[in-house]
Amino acid sequence: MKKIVLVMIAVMLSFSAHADADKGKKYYLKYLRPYFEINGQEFASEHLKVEWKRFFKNDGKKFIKKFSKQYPQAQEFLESDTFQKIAPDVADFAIKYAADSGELADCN
Amino acid sequence: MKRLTGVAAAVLLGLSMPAMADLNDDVEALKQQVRELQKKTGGNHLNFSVDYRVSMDNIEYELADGSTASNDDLLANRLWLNMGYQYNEKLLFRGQLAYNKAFGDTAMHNQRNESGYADFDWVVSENLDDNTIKVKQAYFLYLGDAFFGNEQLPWTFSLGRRPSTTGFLANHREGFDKANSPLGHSINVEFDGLSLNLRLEELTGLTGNALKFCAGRGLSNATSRFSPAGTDYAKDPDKTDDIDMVGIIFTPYNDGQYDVKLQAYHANNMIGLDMNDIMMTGEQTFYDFGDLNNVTLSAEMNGVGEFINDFLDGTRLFASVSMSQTDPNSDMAMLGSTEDERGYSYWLGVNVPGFFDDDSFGFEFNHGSKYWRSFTYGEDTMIGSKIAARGDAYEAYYNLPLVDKALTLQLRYTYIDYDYTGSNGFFGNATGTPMRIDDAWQMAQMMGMPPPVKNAQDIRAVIRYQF
Repeated sequence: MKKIVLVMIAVMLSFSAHADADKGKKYYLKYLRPYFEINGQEFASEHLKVEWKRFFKNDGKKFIKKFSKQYPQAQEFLESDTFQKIAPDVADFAIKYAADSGELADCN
Repeated sequence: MKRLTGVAAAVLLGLSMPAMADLNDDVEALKQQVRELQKKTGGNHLNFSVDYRVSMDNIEYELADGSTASNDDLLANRLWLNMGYQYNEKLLFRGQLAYNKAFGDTAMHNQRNESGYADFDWVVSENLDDNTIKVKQAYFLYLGDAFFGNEQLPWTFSLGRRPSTTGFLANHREGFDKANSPLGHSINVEFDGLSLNLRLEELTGLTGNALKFCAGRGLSNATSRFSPAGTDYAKDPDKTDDIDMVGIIFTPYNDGQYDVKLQAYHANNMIGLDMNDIMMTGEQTFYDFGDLNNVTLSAEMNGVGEFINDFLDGTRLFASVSMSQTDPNSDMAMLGSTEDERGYSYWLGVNVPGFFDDDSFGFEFNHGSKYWRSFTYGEDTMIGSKIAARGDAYEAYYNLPLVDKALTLQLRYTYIDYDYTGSNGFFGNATGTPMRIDDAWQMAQMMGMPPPVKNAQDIRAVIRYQF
């Protein structure tokens, strides 16, 4: 029984990572919004889908460059390992709610 | 290098440098036009999306005398046609048309019973009804930058038929990423009204800090058009008064991972049936029984810890407590009592990632006390609102995307064990009076009435298509 439980825990803890827009929203709110000071919908709708895809290519190099320039106080975070961890999810979130996505602003 | 390329291109094309600059300007202008066009065709024009599902429910009620009532294969389909138009960055409209019915013949024909209260406005799109499309949502939303000129106070205002079902915490069992506005623990009905939301975080420095004022009308007293007296739409003193509700939703903190919300509301002129009246006249007439107050505190943790592993990252935990309090009119036995009565409820839930990319498991438990009364008549449960239960409710579900998030499957099991009667009733002394199930059964036997429901369960399979 103990072995089965351990195997189940091991299986659960070893899931492969995948990008997720919902997670991206969470990460945006927690990590980026304090620097950017605009809500998630405003952030995502600043660019078109194709533009977000371009920004997040190659480990988000263009995103880091652009937003470090726009928000110098965020530069250190954007160049951190933590940002690299959240970048795929934030990319999914930004693409999902991009200006040309057809998704409307949250009712908040 | 870029400049050299430009010069080379100019030389090759035989253009002078000023002409090249003009060309660059033209290209930039064209790009801007294309961008605007993309925005308009994508986000700023009328959009439609569809949410269609087919469900099969296996439901069973165990009655107090040990007998059962069941339906092994209740097949139903529900269509939501969502629409939105964003006039500009500040002003948008949203609408939702709904159709929700059992397979086959409609409630209007004698093959099935009358619709009863299924067409009541609070639940008209949520219950199985006839083959018609209803308006579930229609409202506009204005997004303001500075409330009364204060740039630290961004605000939104909306007015119309509200997105007031499947609210905070109730969204997980339905497989929705987004929660609608009221807290699902105490309000889950369709509603007409307004809201004003103030984002306070810049002012207070608390992440996600916000305060929302809500108000609405749950019932309008008005005579009908072409009344014999010629007083169309005037108030009718012989009918129940308007039902109005005012409330606030305060979010002290929401950083995306930790989200806390406090809701309080007051609703007046709550309607219900009077047992004495039914006994005397045999007719079921609504009367005003009194007012209802409610306070609810809900909290959610979206992800346990930080980057420990994907399983904990994708785990959600939530807890919620709620208190309802009646304020009966003089001589009216609201929920069967002429005193102010308090009811309590708590609700716990967990949602964890499954074995594939986007599947998830959920487990929920809630308990309601003797006088607990919620506005959750529109909750998407065939056996009646589990949140409204005066007793214990258990639920387990599994959400599995079949084709991305466009086609999904849900398997769900709900079990409700009632301690008291009247869980899904209104506010009078007929439908809302709480009695222990055994006591109610004894009384029912004496009066020659059917036995009350002791417990209920629903095994549901849903296949859902969204685009």
